[in-house]
Amino acid sequence: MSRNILLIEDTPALARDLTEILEMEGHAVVHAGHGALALEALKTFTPDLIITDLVMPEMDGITFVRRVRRLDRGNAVPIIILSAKTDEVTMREGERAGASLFLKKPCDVDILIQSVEKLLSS
Amino acid sequence: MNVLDVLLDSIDEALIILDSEGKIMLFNQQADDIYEMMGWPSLVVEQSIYNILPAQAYHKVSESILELKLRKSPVKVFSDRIAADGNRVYLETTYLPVQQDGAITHIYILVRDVTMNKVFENRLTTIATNLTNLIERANAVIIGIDSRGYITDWNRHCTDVLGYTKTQAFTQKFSDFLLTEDSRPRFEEVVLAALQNKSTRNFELQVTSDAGDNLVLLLSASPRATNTGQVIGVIFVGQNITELTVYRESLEKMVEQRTRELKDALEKEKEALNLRSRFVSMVSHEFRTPLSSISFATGYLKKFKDKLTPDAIDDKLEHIQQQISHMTNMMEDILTIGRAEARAEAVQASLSQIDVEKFLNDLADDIYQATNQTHTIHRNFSFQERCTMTDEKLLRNIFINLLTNAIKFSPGCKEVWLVGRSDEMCYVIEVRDGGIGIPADELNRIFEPFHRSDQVGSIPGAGLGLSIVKRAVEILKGSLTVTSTPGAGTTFTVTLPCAYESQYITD
Repeated sequence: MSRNILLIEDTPALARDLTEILEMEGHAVVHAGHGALALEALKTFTPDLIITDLVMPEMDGITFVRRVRRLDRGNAVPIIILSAKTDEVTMREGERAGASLFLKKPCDVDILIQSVEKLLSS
Repeated sequence: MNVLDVLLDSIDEALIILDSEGKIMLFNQQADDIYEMMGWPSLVVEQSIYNILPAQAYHKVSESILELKLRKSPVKVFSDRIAADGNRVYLETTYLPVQQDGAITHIYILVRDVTMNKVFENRLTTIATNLTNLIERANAVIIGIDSRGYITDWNRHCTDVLGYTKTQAFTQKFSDFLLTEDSRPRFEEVVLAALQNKSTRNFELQVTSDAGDNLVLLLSASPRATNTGQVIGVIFVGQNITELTVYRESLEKMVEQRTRELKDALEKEKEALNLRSRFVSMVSHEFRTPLSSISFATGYLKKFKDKLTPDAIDDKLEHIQQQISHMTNMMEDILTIGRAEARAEAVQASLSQIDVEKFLNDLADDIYQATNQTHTIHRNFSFQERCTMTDEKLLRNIFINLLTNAIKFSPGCKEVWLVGRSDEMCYVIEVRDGGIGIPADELNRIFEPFHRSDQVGSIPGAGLGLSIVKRAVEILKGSLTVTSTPGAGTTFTVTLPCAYESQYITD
């Protein structure tokens, strides 16, 4: 079943890789280059899942997740953090901010797809 | 006993009254006592004193009486004698004439035992002599001045230390004679205090010796007062501590030096830790990102290969290759820096004849292609000599990094400039962009390995390029400067010498 996914990733190559994979799986992907752009997109778009990077210009991923969780509609949407910043402190910070899942870069495609499907069906 | 006897016995002095011929008319108890103390025959009234006196006293007494008769005025005689018990006795004898109508009728002899006074006086003299010797020979600088500041005391040690003799120093004004200009205020302060009866302990005074050397004296100043407490001068006592001062200063310098060394070492240590932590975070982020891309692309190919067109597969493979070459470049950069760090001194240039203008043109073309032709690289060269001896590999390191940086950090401005000129001495080559620029507080840090400005955002990089440039310029004995305006662009200027000394380089 086709679902809407909001992808926040500042590295163009990765954004392209992820979009292609998710589209192959039959989902619609909206891409934003950083947190502030994504928040803007959320005003008119209600995704079924959000995948976000952490280290980005303008607004980093942790701040973005916190802001989403403060939105009325943002409480329920599952959020995956997909980051190259993988130390314990950052992971715990992501969890506290309200992320549903933390995936480390590099990430296996199968694990990514499984995680996306699991969160979309829950 | 009549009234006169009582009176005579109650005075302190011994009294003997003679007539003009020397016959004893009268004497008191004290006179009797002195004769007894001296072991002389007892005085007897009506007898001639000349008959009673022993030979050793006779001469002096008769001489004194003769003088009295000649001068017709009192005579005072001082004599020291050995008493009957063998002790030395000092006697003060006064002969007083009693006259009638110009003729001497009687002679009064008053005798006083002044032994105690004399002993006391001797003791005082001894003390004074000892004191003078002590001051003179003391192993300390002792200088006295009067209330107007003129030198009144100057001991031998002063001469040893300062060179001036006592004669030279006396009657000189201390302040004009010895002081350096800087010491005057402190000296005047101390003297003023001493004249107001306040001592000053252990103050340092810089003085100039006869030889013209500047010496440091550690002195104490005390008021010099009369018996009645009136302050009439100042006494300075102290030591020459010039050598100590020099030693102290050298110690202070040593401590300062050691502290600085320690601080430098700590700073280096901190820098090393900092470098390591930057390296770790760089590797973590900058390697994970291309690795992710490779991982996603291979996973994508594996999972969806049946659904993909051959072009789409080629496209993905091409993408994977790009990511791998990106990582390889980063690895090369790290190795370059690592090698340079490992044998900082050993890296040498390998010189060969290079056509600098052609080299820069070719390099600019290559970079234009490699960066997908996004930015035009404007060139303007005016080299006096197109060719020079230099190291091609190092030159390549320098300008690949500067040009790719210029392009990378100019997302808004699609042009960069490569400008070169030369004279007999050096080549000056500028790389200029209209990009995001570097904040002033970051300028001195951009050459540190793994340093990445907060400005760079998502622009990828290991933070090694500029440290490689700096290293290469150093090896080529050149210089590297940067000017930048945030938001308006950055200019890097590389200056390289035209020629190298013969002992330098080539292997």
